[in-house]
Amino acid sequence: MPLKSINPATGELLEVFEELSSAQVEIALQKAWQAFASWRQSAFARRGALLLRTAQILAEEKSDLAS
Amino acid sequence: MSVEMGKPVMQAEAEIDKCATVCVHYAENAEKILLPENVVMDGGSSYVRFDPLGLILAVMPWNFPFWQVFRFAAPALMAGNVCLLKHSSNVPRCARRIADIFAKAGFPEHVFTELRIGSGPVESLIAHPLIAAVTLTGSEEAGRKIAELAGRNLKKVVLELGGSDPFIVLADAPMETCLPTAVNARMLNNGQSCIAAKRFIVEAKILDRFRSGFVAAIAKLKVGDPLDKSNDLGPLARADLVEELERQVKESVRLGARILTGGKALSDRPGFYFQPTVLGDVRPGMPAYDEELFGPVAALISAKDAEDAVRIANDTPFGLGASIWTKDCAQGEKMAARIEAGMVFINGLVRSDPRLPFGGIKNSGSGRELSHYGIKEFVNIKTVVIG
Repeated sequence: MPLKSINPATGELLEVFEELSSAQVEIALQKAWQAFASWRQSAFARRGALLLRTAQILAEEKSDLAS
Repeated sequence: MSVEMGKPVMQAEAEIDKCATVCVHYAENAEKILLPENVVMDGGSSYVRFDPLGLILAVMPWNFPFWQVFRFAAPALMAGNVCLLKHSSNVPRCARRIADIFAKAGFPEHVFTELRIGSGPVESLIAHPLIAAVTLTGSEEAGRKIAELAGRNLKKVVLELGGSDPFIVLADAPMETCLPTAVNARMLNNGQSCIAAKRFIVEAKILDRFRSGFVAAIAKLKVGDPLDKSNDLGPLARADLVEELERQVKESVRLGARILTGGKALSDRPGFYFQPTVLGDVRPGMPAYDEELFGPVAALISAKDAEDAVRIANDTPFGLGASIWTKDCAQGEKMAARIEAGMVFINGLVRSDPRLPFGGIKNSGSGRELSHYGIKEFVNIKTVVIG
């Protein structure tokens, strides 16, 4: 079933998203598993730097994300 | 966020700020928290290391659609796990934006993945051999399903479920801070928060005074377009939530509760609005006493004294947060020790903070998020002994 984004202030349908198929989900899991092999080896400093960058993007895009 | 789930936009901005805070907190503290711990033994050497578990499936709700994802993802990623997000079906735009943010920040591909699926495929996902653990923030009903699936598949699970938090007002409560906090504690996020104060348990001696101040403040709240910063409340997130809340209010009134203000859905406009409401004379057997009210409806309950207030506070299947209002902090602390909840705030609003563990007991779930406890939920606490 498609996922619907509805504005609760108006009831207006904003956007419809198609669900991933089970084959697509399986591919996503396999890719995540492959990504884990190197991510688990990554240094804390690298993970931390990426999260600090994430925090920066959140701050920069705050008003757009919030609305 | 506001246009998709109705949160007043200033609160949505505060939510984004909080997401940034949790990222910074774990970026700065995870390494320290996860340092191997030496254990002194007889001869040889031993230590404990904290290895990532692998692929963590997060089933997340719509009410804090950014915060709840970042609260889980920041520690999980710092611990070396890989995250798969199944977000609530009514916030697909938020889910897409979150995935975009992690990609833009430079995380390697597939370290954070948004799975655009409904709830149907969750059963086979939990059973999937590549999924190591599951975390759910959601309703009690969803918690039962996920816990059952996790149990059947022997997967680690953390559950943050509903709550019916007590807000205890003793006769000596500091009214000037207690009253405005009571309003906020119930009405933040249009009343749709697991840690919202839902049952206001007030010592009989002060009930009249608290009730008149509380009802007057709630009656003044402005309801309307969540993008208009002059409004205090927006709509509920979905039409069915209005229907359920209306049922709970009507049934409570049928059983003897009194509407002191509000009480109805706002049918004069499009959208899913409900009036900020206070119910008085709430007693056991009513939905307002026994169930979680996920919307802007406060239940007022009279207590004989502090002892009776603790009894009523614990007379619920839930055990998430609680707050106690009294000028006698020693009395508050004694009560806190006996309250069946994961978090007790004395003279303060129940809130989450990256430095404090967050979670509940009883039907409010198990496990903790945030602080050093939260990051250790999704690690393999591995003993290494060198003989």
